[in-house]
Amino acid sequence: MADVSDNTALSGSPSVPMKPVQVKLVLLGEAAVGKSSLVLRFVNNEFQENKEPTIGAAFLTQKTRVEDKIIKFEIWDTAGQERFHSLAPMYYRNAQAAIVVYDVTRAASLDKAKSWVKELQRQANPNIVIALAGNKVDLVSDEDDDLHPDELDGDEEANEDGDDMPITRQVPAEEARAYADESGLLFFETSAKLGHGVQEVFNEIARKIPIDQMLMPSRSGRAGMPGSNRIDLNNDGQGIGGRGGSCAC
Amino acid sequence: MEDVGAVEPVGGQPVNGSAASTVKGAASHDSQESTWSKEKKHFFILSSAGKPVYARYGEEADVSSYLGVAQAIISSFESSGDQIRCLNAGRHRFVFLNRNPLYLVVVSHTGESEAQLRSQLSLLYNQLLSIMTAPQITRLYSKRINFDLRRFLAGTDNLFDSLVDSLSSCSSMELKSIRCARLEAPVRSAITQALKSCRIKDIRYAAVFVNGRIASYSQPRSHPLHPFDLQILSNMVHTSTKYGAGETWTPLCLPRWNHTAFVNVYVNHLSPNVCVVALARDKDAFFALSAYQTKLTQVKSALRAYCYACLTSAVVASVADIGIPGLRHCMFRSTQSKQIAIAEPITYNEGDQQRLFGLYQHASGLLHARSAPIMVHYHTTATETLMAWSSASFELYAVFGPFISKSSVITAVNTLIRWIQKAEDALFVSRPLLF
Repeated sequence: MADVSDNTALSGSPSVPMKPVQVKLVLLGEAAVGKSSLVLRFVNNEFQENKEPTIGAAFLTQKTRVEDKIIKFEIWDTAGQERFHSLAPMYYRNAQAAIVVYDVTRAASLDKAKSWVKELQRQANPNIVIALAGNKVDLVSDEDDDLHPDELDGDEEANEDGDDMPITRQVPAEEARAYADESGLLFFETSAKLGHGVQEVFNEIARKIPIDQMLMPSRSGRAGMPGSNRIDLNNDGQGIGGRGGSCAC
Repeated sequence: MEDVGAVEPVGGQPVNGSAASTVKGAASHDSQESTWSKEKKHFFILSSAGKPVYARYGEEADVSSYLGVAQAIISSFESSGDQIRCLNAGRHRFVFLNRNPLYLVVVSHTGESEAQLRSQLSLLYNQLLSIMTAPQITRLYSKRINFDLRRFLAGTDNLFDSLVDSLSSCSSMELKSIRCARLEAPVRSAITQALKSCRIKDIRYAAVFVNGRIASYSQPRSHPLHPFDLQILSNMVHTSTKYGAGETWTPLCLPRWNHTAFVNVYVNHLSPNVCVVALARDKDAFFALSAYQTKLTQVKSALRAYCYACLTSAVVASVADIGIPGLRHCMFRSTQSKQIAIAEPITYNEGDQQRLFGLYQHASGLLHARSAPIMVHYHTTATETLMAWSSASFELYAVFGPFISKSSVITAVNTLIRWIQKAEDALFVSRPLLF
């Protein structure tokens, strides 16, 4: 479409306003790994301690500028609880990007992240850009850390809620990075609390999105839920209860 | 005592398995013990196998042995084909609600009647059913009787806690009614208009909440929403993520509407105080709700402007507005619309409010008594005089000073009723959008 030529032609003159390119992005991961916190940091640049869990899914948008393009992220922040698992396809099926989040202090959350990655690679858009984000690095900042070792000094307050149980890293960065490389994922360690690595995840995704896909003609109005009938909710009309054999409920 | 001893391992079991559960950590056990048991009112949900599902106060380790005892008592009655309903022990009243495979228990020394406590238990049960439908629960437990439901309820503690807290502090719950936002009539009708202009076919129900109270709503004439279901919605709105200008999509079961299926709830916080809720129940609800979202964007700015207007135009009715000498507090419930207006007490501190709440509890208990409900209740204590009046179309509760004469109370109550009738459109959603 016309936008293609616009974007390339205008690269030298950023003063001319461009139409933002819409990118549908979904966040997945175990409960309480900090998905909403990452989004809140990215969208509002804020952080809430003891945030209440997301129920269902939340929808937020944020524009970001990458090189000569303006990307408008349409973010579906899903709930991590098991009973919402069967709803996830609704959100990721038309997504161009996904951030799969785990908690560096909980090894089990990486396992869950891996299973999300598998599901995405099997069932989502084949061109989907997936980023793996190990969140909560502020909790383990005293350890050797390959991210921003000198900037992470928020550990004292972070450890307050863990009184008697010292919080230790359970997922070494190298291990997660090796897995990400092997599975073709972008990899970041982040701290939504301190804001480290958050913008980078989204920027890197924006760079990675193939431009032809971003300008797919089918995207009129909201990405992800347009007239295209790819979301098939007809397999079961009974709501989350009946849908998906993976959930025992 | 033998029974209890035999059961304890059952109650103890979940403690071992608690590592994976989300029940609040077991830090500083002793100090917790001393604080949780001091609470006046405890709500518990447990499975018929004695596994804890929900407790308002206390760590799992604290309560599980008690739940084992509760399970033993309930099941010993059950095994003889009977059901335990209520147990009075000193100042404490234990009320049980059996919803196999789940048991609900409330322990209270607030002086509330058995019927009142039982209706609170059914509200709590409704809240549970909004998260998991009854058939789902039955299916889970039919597979494994000692199933741990908490895994499926993860992250819902705040929904239960907020409901339980309002059960102990708010009379509208007690009276199964809806508390409306007080709005000037033109503002309210503008909100109703906004709802009308963004109405689409698949949206069965839509409402605007201001400060957690309902400002206006639209619903099909044939399927009005039951107050219990509205309660669940408003509780969800109340506890939902304050996402700034965020939107959420949530599957929810409204037990009185359809207790076997989920509807899709769309919640859009236009501002921290104002939020729009819409329900779609079709399988393509996702599209319906996003279409609604698009429509809503068009009227959003208008809606926002009105809502800001209503936030500035007195949202709560205070006794001072009513201007009746001697009147300290009042509460008015419209029987037909099940809506309630409660004045904001001006001179009451927290302790006074608790006492007032107790008075109302007592009076409404008498007015709603299953056998021989009374029409008029006049009651003077050392600190207050309360008059409660129930008619076919309304219920009124008014509180005065302790030294007021009966005739002045009657005069004041009559004036109050005239005032309420005049202010009806501002106090209640008297003309919701019906289709």
